[in-house]
Amino acid sequence: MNAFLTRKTWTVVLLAAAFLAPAAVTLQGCTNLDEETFGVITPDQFFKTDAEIVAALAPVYAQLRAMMWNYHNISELTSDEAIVPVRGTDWDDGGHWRQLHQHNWDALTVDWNGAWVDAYTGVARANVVLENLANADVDQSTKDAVSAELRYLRAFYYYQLMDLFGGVPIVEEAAVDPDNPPSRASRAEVFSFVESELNAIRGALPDRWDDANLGRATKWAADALLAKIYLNAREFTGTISTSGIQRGSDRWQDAITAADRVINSGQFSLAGDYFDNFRVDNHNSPEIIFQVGHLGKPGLGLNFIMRTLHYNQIPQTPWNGFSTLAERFESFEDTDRRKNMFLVGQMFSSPNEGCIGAECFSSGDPLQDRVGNPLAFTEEFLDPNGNPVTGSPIGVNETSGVRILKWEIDPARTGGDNGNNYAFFRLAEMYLIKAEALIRQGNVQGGMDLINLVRARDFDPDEPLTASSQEEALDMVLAERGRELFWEATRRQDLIRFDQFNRAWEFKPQSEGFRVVGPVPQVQIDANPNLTQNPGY
Amino acid sequence: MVKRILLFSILMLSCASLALAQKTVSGTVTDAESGLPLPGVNIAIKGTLTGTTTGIDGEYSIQANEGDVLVFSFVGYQTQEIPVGPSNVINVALKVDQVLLDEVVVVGYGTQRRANITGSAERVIAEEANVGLINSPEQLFQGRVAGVNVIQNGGEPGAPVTVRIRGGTSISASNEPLYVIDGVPIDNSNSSPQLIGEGGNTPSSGRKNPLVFLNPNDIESVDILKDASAAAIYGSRGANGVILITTKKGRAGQVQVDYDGYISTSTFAKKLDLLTADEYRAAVRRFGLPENNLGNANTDWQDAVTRDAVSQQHNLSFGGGTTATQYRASVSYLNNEGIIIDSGLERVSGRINVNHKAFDDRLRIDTRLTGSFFNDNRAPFNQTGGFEGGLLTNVMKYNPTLPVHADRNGDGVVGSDEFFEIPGQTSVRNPVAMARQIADITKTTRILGSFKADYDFTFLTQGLTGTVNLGLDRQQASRRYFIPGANPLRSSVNGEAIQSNAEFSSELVEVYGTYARVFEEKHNVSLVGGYSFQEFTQEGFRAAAQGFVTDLFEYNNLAAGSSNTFRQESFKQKSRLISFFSRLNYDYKGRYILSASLRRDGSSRFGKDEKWGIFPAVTVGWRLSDESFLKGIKAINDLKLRFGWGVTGNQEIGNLRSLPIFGSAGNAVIGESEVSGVAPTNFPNPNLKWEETTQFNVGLDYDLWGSRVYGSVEWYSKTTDDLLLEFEVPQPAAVPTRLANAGKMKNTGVDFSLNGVVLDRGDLFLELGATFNANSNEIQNLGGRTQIFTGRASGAGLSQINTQILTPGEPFGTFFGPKFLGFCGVDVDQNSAECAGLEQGSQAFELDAQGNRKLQIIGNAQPDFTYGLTANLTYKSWDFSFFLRGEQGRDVFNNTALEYSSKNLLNTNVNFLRSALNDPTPLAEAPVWSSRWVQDASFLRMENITLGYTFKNVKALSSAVGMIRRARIYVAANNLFVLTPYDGFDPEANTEASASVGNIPITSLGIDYTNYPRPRTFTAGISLGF
Repeated sequence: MNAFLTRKTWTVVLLAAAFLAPAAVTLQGCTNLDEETFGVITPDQFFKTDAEIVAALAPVYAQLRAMMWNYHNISELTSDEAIVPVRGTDWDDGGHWRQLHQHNWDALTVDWNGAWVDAYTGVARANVVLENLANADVDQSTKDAVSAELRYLRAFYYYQLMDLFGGVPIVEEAAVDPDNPPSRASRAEVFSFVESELNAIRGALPDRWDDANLGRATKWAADALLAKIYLNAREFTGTISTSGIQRGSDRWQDAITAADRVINSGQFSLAGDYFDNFRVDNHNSPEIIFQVGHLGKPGLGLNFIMRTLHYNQIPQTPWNGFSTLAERFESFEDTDRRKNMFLVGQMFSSPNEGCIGAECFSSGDPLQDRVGNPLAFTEEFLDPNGNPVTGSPIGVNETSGVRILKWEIDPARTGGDNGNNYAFFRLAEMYLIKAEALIRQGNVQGGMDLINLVRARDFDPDEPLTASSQEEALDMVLAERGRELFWEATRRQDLIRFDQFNRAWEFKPQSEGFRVVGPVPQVQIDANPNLTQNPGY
Repeated sequence: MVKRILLFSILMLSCASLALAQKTVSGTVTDAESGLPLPGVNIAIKGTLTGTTTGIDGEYSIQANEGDVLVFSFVGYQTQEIPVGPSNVINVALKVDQVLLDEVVVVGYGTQRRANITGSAERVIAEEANVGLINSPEQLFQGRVAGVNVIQNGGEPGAPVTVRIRGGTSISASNEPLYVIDGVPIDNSNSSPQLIGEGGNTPSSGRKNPLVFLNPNDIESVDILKDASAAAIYGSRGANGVILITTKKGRAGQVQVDYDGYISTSTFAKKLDLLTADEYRAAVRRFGLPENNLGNANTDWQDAVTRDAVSQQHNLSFGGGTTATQYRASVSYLNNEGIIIDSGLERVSGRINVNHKAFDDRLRIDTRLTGSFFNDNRAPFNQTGGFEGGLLTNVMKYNPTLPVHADRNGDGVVGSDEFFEIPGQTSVRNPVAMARQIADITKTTRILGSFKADYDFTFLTQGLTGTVNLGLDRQQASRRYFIPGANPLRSSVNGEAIQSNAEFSSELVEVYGTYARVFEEKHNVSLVGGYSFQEFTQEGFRAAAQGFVTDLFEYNNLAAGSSNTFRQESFKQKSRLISFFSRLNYDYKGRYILSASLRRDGSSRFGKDEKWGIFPAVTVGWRLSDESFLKGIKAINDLKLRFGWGVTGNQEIGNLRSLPIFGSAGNAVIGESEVSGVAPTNFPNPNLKWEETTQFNVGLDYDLWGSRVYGSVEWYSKTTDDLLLEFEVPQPAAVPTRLANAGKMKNTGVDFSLNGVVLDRGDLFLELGATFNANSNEIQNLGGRTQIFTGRASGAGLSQINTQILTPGEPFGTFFGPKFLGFCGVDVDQNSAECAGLEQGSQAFELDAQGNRKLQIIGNAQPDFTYGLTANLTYKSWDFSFFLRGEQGRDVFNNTALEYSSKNLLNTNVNFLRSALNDPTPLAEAPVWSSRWVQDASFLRMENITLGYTFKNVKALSSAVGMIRRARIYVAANNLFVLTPYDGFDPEANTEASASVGNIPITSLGIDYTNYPRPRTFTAGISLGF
């Protein structure tokens, strides 16, 4: 009996031990689960050489290309400068293009989230490199120089966020703890951050880069951005409620000072021809202060021509979407050389590559649209039967709307990728910023002189403008900016500054005051519960 | 007192009989029902290695002693043991084995008698599996097992298959079950080499079914572990169930040669109702549109790109051996033509399985090797993005008044390769030219080998067996792709060629011990414990070039392209799984059954301190029929109640997700040249761990009236915690999304199966079977998120639209969008708010307070229930069977109809569906995503009908054509009809339409966009045994 119990107990213990072994066993050697990496690197292996620092810096610059989509689209399509109508079965896309134009977007409208992520990706990339730079194996001088560039770029991305959304979280660390996410700073705090960063690092940035480094940030890029934020300081330091914007104090003199530093730097001059700023080889233009580089290679190019040209115009099958409104097209005098950027009327088969604007598609056989009508762009938005479309921009035919061909078609493009660089700041705008600040300070004549200085290259003979009052001069500033900086992502900002953003225009009724900033995207609020929504949304 | 029975008592018994005198015993073995002789039956003297098999006439003879026991065994028949008496003649009639209780079921690291299974496991054996034109193993059991939902995503040969066992458990990780072939868990991820720039404007059918390498004819059985208590032995890979595939082995006896072959023809099962050329001309005139695009041809583009495809398969196998060594070898050839021209699948495969026993059967070796070579010829159709689309998009679009072939010289003579294209147009392409001109060929070689050795350590203790299991899976695939400059798709870049290679491999080492004993004749104990190591490697290279002077180089000379278009990519990844596992099975007289398993699993994919997880499971079974209170009831053969609980995991998230990784990203253009960037490519989550699915299962197995009625009823509930979710992180973040364990999802449901012998009268035998599953899925938590969108719509003017929502309280696959109310002035009052500003006939949608279309839940892609019905009728030599399969209460978003139900397309010189011609919408109205396009896609499909004839008098046949052991001919029809209210090609569609959030897309369900149509197939086949 005793022996029986012992054996039974022994058996049970043995079975239990064998069964539970997996929970206890950890054999050395055959339990190594470290993940091996191939074709990627971990941060501790990197940041050892100057070349590696440049490779880490490149993505922070590369993110500037992302501004060509969401930031650019919002700046253009929410203004009176551009529209993407629903053309037949194309471009409804859930209505988001119309929402932008008609100012009835909401927190789910995709473009806002895209812009938020694009800019913050730039911020985060800069923060990651800044943090790793501290421990990098390179000279202090390299660290200081690269750090100044990174902080410039970060300030530039924060400027976009402040412009589109008002106050946003300011983060300078490499990583955000997802469980303890940051709250929003006020718009004025973001303004101060951008201003103080730019002032802190402008001295460490070079006057110019050699050709091999063209496109990297200079002192003057910092001054140009300062001029721009000072110009909009009343808006950027103001507060926004459901009824609209309560402006802060102006910084006209600071805007003039910053613009003057660029103008007087001796580094820049107006290009002989306006379109030299937009050609494939525009990196040679003496006018460009800060630009983002493009190449005619997949994923690296500028695709503006794809957005606007008709399907049948070039073999890459463009998208036939973006057009300007008749009102903007008509704001150019016929003698204004800049009006050549528009395509209107019958298109012909030869793109005449190397041409600009209206000179293109002007020879060869007349083109047809997809249904077989002549491919002739009209100022008016018409339905397939040729009747004007009213109300919503729905049911528009393929050929309605004046098209924008300001950036030369790159003959060496790959697919839709063109090699034209894109200028964020040109000397011409510095003149216009200074002009506006002077006029707003009461110096109407000083301002008008600068405007006419810019206009001179576009008219033969000259057609200078004269203003009899400050009010008239300000109207002229807005109109001139609208022509000179057309499609350069300034129109939304300008309309807000001139209190015209909420007015009605074609296909758009009067909109609510709070729409001067966009909504905090719902996706971002879901991801960060500490984010509050903007008034009105 | 432990009694030693089992093998050794048998051995002793046989030793005792050695003293008696030998004599020759002979006789005939026949089928008990038909009385016909059975060739190939194994006859062995129990406890010895001596044995023989019956000849062609069912006769045998063997040297035996009086007192020996002869064991007569044959697959599919009940084994009989007959002692040798004074008579020298022993005739045996073997009965067909209908009682499944003694069947042995594969359960992972061993087998178990079906009678003692307490988890939820189902078996499909080859004889009961689906027949017809079948190219992959999943098709064998589609619809046969309750709770196992197999969806063929399209009709292209080798198209991917979606398998869901009791609903999906995950959102960001895979929902596919683990496949284990002959004990080797295989990597079933998408291994087909990808193109550079695939999708978008590089049309291709993309994913393929990785299991297509396995010849279904080599499969003996498929065991499906449905619940966690059964699957927990596979730990971190068991959450979606486990499918164990066992291949056929050889049997001792004379060499048997088998040939199975069929030829089949597949036809377009259902055409979409597009305008004919005449209707198109009439419509253009009716709306007063320019007629200059009207041609004189009458082309039905659906007919032009499809064909009656002829497929064939031939399998030749032979097997045999001695009682010590058995072998089976097979070769097969499949040529599966697609119904779209220039598409198809060709496969040559071979397999050798050898088993050997030595040292008095103490050592058992089992080696299996299969080599498969297959060739995918894909049709250039892509189902996402790009408004220009691929082949099927252009079939919809292409103006039917235009011809297929161009008459270049105007002399009325056209060459077969002279394709018509609309001059000056690149956005619409001749679909026939696309099919003919675009080459997309993938050649894959896959070798899967396993070696298993069992050794009984009888010198230590009885019932102790040690096992070593080694596996190697290696596949190498090369894909070649070419779009000539002659095709408008690449005319602007003078052609594009891509070569892409991928190598996937895995190595497996397992060591485990089994201890099985019976104590006191009533305590059955079996214990398994072991260690497993598996490593997966994936690497590849791809290169592309454009700008060829001539199309003649095709993909064979990338260097002939223009160097500034060259693109190259390469990658390598590795992952590793290490596990310790154990399982205890105990039963008391087969009446009270307990099974418990424990696995400790480690995966390299998870965070540093989260790599190891523990996966326990416990089940109990109670055989009610053995209790005295039921013993008296004759009707009850077997009645077993089962309860199970277990935890399983899911680790299918891809590699490197827990680590801070910098990769090649963000190349900048500085100084007019490209500067390579290095940036974070992953948002690291050092706390990343498995998803854990906890499952309860209650089941009742019943077998009544002498197996006239049998089946099971089960209820289950499974909850996935720590749901792996890819979602947006707070900005700023260098990578906008992160994978985290954040959500919770639940599936509850019932499985039901019922089989009954309805008629059993001599020559006439009829059996009916039914399976049923109702599953209810609910997302319970999304880590605090209220909504995640997926299900991206495709088509012109339909970008940036997500059609599905994941939200707590609703199931996965919920459609979300505007609600269609009807047409203004027809169904909806023209003066209502919904029709304000809209033309008469416009579509009206429910509006919200702001006057925008109100987004709401408008359907769900998961069925309320699924079912299958089978019937098998035999009458003398004839057999007839059919298999019906259905799903009820499921919705499909008909994206194809949404895009092509707009007469506005006439304004772009593009064809559309006839229904749009007569709906009241104004000419200029654009397509709008709404509930109008979420359609009821419930269906009842006649999956298969087979009529066969088995030659019983093989002797007569033999004299005519040689030694024939068995012969059967059959005709079968697959997908003969589908009853459904759905008006797309096929209600079973699952277009990949995930909205890509970060690296891992959130999958969608039930979206149909320009799918490759599923064919109707007729097959005629023959099976011969020699």
